[in-house]
Amino acid sequence: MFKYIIKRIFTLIPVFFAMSIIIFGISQMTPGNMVDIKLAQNASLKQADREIMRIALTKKYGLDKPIHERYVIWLKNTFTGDLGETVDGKPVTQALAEPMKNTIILNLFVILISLTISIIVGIKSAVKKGKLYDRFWQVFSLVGTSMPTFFIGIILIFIVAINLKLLPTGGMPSVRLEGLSYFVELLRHMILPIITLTIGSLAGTVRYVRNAMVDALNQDYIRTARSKGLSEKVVVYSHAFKNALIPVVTIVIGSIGGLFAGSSITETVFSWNGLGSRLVSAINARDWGIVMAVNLFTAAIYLLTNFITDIAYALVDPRVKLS
Amino acid sequence: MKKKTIFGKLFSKKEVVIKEVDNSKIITPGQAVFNNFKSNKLAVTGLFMFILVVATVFIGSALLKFDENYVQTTLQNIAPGANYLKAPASLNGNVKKIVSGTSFSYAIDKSNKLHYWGVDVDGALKVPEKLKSKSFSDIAVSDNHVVAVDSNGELHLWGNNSGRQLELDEVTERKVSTGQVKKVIAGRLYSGVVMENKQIHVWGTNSLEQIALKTDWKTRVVDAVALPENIILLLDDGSVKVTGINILSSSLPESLANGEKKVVKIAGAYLNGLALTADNELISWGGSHRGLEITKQYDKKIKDIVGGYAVFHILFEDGTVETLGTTAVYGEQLSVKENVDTIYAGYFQNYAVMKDNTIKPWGLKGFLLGSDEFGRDVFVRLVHGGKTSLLVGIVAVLISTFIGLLIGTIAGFVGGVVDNVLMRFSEIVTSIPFLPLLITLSSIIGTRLTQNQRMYLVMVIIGVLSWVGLARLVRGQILVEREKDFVLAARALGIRQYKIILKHILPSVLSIAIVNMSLSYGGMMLTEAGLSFLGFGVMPPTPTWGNMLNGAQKAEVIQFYWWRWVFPALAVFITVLAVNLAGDGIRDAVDPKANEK
Repeated sequence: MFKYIIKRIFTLIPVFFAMSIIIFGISQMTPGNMVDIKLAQNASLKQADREIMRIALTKKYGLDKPIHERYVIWLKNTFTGDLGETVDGKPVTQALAEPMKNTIILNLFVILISLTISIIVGIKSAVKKGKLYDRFWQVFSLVGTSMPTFFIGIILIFIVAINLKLLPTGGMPSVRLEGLSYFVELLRHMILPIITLTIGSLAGTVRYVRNAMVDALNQDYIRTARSKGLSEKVVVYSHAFKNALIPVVTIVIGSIGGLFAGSSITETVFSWNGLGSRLVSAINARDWGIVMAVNLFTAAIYLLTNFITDIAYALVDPRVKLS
Repeated sequence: MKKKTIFGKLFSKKEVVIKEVDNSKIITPGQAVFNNFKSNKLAVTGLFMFILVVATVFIGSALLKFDENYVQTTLQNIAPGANYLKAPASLNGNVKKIVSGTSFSYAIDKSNKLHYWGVDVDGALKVPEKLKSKSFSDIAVSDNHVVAVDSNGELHLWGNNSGRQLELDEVTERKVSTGQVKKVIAGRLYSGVVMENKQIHVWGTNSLEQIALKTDWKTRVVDAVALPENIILLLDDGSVKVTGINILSSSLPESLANGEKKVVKIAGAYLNGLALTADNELISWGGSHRGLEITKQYDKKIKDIVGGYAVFHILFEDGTVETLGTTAVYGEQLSVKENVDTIYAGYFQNYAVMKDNTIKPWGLKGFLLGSDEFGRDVFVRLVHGGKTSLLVGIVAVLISTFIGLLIGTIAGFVGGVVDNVLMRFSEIVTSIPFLPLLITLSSIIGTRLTQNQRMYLVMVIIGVLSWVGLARLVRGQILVEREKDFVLAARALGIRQYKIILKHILPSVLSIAIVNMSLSYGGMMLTEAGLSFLGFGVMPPTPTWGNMLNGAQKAEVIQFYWWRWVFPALAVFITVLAVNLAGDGIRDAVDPKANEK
């Protein structure tokens, strides 16, 4: 197992470097660099002073160096936690701390809820294959995958927030609140985005869990277990589900990356101050420092979840590491 | 046939029946797939729905005229309804006056009762309950409010009040209630009355210039025409005055302003004025390039002149009508030509009362699915936007299928180092966070491109980033197929490698590709919609279902203008659902066990 992990880490390295080159490359394509932005902010300066400032800034941001050196410097800075500056001069890490916290909170809830529901529903659908219950969830997942996320979000806002006035339409709780009341407000603000993201995520995973379970229930060892006279409960939960868990684990972990990357739309619809909506607003404000950092973060999450998926797969299915 | 006994069955000679092979019962795999698909009702429904959507979009966009840059803010955010011209039948032969706002009309019949129809804007069509049975002597409407005077000379105002145009101050109120009201007027954000004693009172508005009346005009007014940004006044000496500061007021001919020409009738379009003098001469002024200039005089005696938003109708004594105006796009020019008794026009609606007392309406019928923030017809944009949405999805799917097939096939066949490199490469592509990168790329590259190039860029980016799944499937399939016996047999027969690939392995790979295409098409459409919703996809004014939803990021639009988001989102949803149903059906037809795994 240890050897497999090491091997997997080694294959991760080139992928990581390729990723970093792509992201760095994109950052070099962005129109308007830091020097231009800073100069534009100091437009009142005299021409001569502006020239001095330009030279000083070019040196400061290392724009006088050739591109490969800049890449190395950027990589080194990134590893030491220096992700550069935003347009208004704050460190990117500081600007992104709050959105990152919010995104993680939101996605943790979504993952937990959607995992629980999809496992319960998936197993029950597989057991009741072809019955009304199964049909209902088949339709649900079909509708869920066909529905644009923002449509779900807007409908929820329209019905729950605007017409029934049960929950806020979006945004974050007031910073002046403290303690328990802040937490309650946070929950109230989170409910609609969580439902939206969960529906989107459930639509895919329920179907996946169900198919994995159906597959497991068709295996010979299930017939054996049944013929031994084991109760249906033991057969389903102990024999079938354990084996169905393999694909379930992979799909669930694999979907984490997608959740983080895909919540731009949901976060924008609900004005949730997370990474996704921050990305959108940063692009609109041409704040490339933030854009690159968010891209880097989501890419890292992707790589990490891919890696964990593989390891998990190998853990539960020893055949994997042999091939 | 005689029934055989059991002995007969056992001992009689067996009849040898040569069964002919029934050719019709042997089916090719293609037919089997087709039959499977046909027996799946849901899938057939999905396919049918999809074909219906495609047909509606393509045939509809060929039939419906569409100018993507058209803007008419006067008509913005009007709720669905196509009944603007549906005047009640009880008005036939009974009309005293018809006035029209943008999407609604009011009429007073000969017994002074009120009639109204159309689609409400800001409550302009919500007649207060106590007024419904009252009799009225005059009524005027702006684009969003109503001024009416009842038979007792009492004023009633309702509708939009954002310019405080519904609120009379006490002085004006007293003046109005003590005098005799001759005519009421209503323009954008202002209301007014012309009194029998030639006084005029105007109130409301956010821009004072719009209704600024000189003191010596105020007591000599015999007629007034309320326009969105001006008031045209006819004074008792036959001179014409115009309020406001714009082309309409600045271009007023001197001969009209100083009373040299004796004017008897005035009419106004949005930024144009028209005056009829006592000697049957027409004089026009105001905004150019609208085809509203008088280029020739008429010999026939003119009975009346009326103005809509972008048209003038000239009604002659003999019942014929001449219509001016080239920028009218809602069919206002399509006028009735003869036997007209009276003609009414307001904004984009026109009503002619014929000599036989019937009412002939023409002009803007309404917006089936409402209008958006620029006054564009949501239905027309939906039909034309569908073309772009469907196209973006198809091109993206083709691109991703091509790359996926190519890379998957190469990796599967060549194997070794090439396979390893390609798989690592595909891993890199999957690790690229799809949406963030898509957003970033399209915003960076997109700024340097034209409208159309940008649309293609979106297709290419979506396609280029989403081939990995297919490539892996294809590679896996090839690895399995290539070990099968028939390939070994083909190889043993000495068939060349490329022929084995083309003839024996690719067909099975192709079926995977087709299934994958149909299943991913919906996803691509959703991606485009999401991207355009955020404002990073296809840019307006080119409509797509996604960017039509861009406005729905505002709570105000979600709450008040539901038709602007419900219809485009439903269009996306229904189309993607249809595609997914059909795609599921194709998958099940190709591989009936797929859904069981």
